Amino acid sequence: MICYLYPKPIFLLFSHDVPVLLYYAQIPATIIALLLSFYIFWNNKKSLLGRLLFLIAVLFSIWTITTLIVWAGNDGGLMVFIWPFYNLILGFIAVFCVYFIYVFLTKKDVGSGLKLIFLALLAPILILATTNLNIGGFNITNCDAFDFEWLPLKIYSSIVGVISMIWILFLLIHRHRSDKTDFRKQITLLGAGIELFLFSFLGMEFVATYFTRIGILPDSGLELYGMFGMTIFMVYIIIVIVRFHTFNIKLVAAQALIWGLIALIGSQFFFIKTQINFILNGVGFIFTIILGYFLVRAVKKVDEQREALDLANRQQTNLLHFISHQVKGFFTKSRNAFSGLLEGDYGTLPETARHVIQEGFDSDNRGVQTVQEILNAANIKTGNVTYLMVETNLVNLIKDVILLLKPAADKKQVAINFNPAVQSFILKADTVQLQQAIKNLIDNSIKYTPSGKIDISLEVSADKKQAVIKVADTGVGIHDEDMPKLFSEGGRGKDSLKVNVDSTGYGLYIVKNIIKIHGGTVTAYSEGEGHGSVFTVVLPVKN
Amino acid sequence: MRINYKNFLKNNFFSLILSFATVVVIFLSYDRFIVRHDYVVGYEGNCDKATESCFVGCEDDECTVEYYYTKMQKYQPDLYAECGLDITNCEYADACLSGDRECSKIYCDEKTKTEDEICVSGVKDSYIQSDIGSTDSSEESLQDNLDNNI
Repeated sequence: MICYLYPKPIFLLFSHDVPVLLYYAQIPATIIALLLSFYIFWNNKKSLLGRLLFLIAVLFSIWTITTLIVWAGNDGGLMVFIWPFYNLILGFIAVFCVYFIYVFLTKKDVGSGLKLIFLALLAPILILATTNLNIGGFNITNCDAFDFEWLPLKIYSSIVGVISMIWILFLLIHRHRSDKTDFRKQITLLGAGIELFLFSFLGMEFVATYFTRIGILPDSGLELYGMFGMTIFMVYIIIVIVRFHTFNIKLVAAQALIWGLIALIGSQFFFIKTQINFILNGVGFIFTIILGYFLVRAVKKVDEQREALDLANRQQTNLLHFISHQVKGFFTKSRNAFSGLLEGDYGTLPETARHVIQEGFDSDNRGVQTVQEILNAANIKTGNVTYLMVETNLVNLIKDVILLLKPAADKKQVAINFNPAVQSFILKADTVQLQQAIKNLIDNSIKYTPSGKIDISLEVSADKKQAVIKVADTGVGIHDEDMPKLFSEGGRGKDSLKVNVDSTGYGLYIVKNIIKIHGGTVTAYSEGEGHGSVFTVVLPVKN
Repeated sequence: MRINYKNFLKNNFFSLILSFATVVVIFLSYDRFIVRHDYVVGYEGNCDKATESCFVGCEDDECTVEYYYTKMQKYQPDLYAECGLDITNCEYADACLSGDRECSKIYCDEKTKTEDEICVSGVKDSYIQSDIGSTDSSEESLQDNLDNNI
């Protein structure tokens, strides 16, 4: 049936009888969403995250295109066919946004149980989609179906939207609190983007249709403002791609910016009324295309240079890694030879030679340790360390480390006192790595304590949820200037080489990273040079 | 390469169910609304304010020109059979006929009007005419008038 008060549209989508904002809001948002999400999808077709983003963009585009048809059209038969799908698309977008966030946060597909919950949420909308409980008719005077919509189903689909928003917010906050890495920034950005999109899109849609339905608003034009939410979401997507390479996409910022500008300026052709505006907009349109081409080319060149530099850095790192391994091998062979001599494998040594050979043995030992420290730091930095978390007794672990380092401390006449507040404390940790971290801390104290003592304590919080290890020495202390770079890569103190000639600057950097992986923190405190220092490690039981 | 159908179904049950359900919904919706036209059409029917209780509408935003109408609802296939695609200038659209499967004609009164709507009437009572099969005398007279006009 024909909506007899409305003009026939041109190509289904265009009519002079609709708000100008319709084209301004829908067309750029749809083009940007489709182009960007398709670009992401095309660059990595196997990525579930990319596929979900593309699916959300496609659903959004179906929504905007059908909305354009309904706003501009006068064919009641076509509109009554389209109308029942609105609740369905709303529900799908809401559920797929939750799915998208799950995959983004966990980097893997969701489980079957969660998929069943998604299906259960969508089931009422799917089952009732073609029944009178969704839509029973169409008003050809107003050219809409608001009077024939079943309000409970409309409210239900909006509730699904609200549930998805709260669900996403909960997931984001939970992960943001538990994560200690740079990923938090991505969570904030993408979370803000998707929440703003859902809030504006679903919120405006519900307010507009509900108020129109109950007669407060003359039409649902308010929903058009909600479309800008998708553009905002895409801007956030671009930011995370550019800053964090979230979707493994390069160059996309410049290209998206240009495509967005072209779409925005191009969309103005649809409602320009005067010839002079048409010409001005046309000039702007052509200039944008030309300048955009050069901008993308320039960005591409810079990106290629950066990639070449990255490759050179990687090759240099690999070379250093190779050299370090080789040097470690030479040190080890030499050390074994010295060890054999000292242990009498080649006969009794004259006393005059023993001293020199002992020197050589100690020097090789330090050499092996130094190279090992550099290799460990490099592995941690490149993420080539696998952590095997098992139940570990922290008291025993510290005792083992002290036993290992006692000879070195005794040699310097530095006393090590260990006073655990508990007999045993079990937590999940990678025993080898945590032992390495505690060893580095105590070893650091031994090296920077010419004489005196090192007090090590282990306390447990009242709720028994975290352990606090303190390593307090009476050594040289830490200068205020050195404090900020203490745990950084290669961060040696300004006078550290005077005290410890073998310092690599990687010891505390390794400590910080291992403790961080265990969900803990490490801090240092010193009252200044010559006043000793206190290193505090806080480790949670659950990590 | 052999496909393990059990694993394939297990891994893809979510997308398979959703895709299947969506295709079914599209098919059923197409069948109902495009093939069978199984829905009701609402529109404003003509109303004579001298003899009937009518809703008042405005031709423009300033409401310089008024028009009067009743709220009509008819089953689409019936309306299409009576008037074709366009109901303009189709007097069958303004009344419920004996062959109509679903039809209602709502006049303006305190019960039927919303807060924003205004009624105008030249007769003492307004009424709702529905279900053409009923024996309401006013419906019959309307039917007679229509028959005479035809």
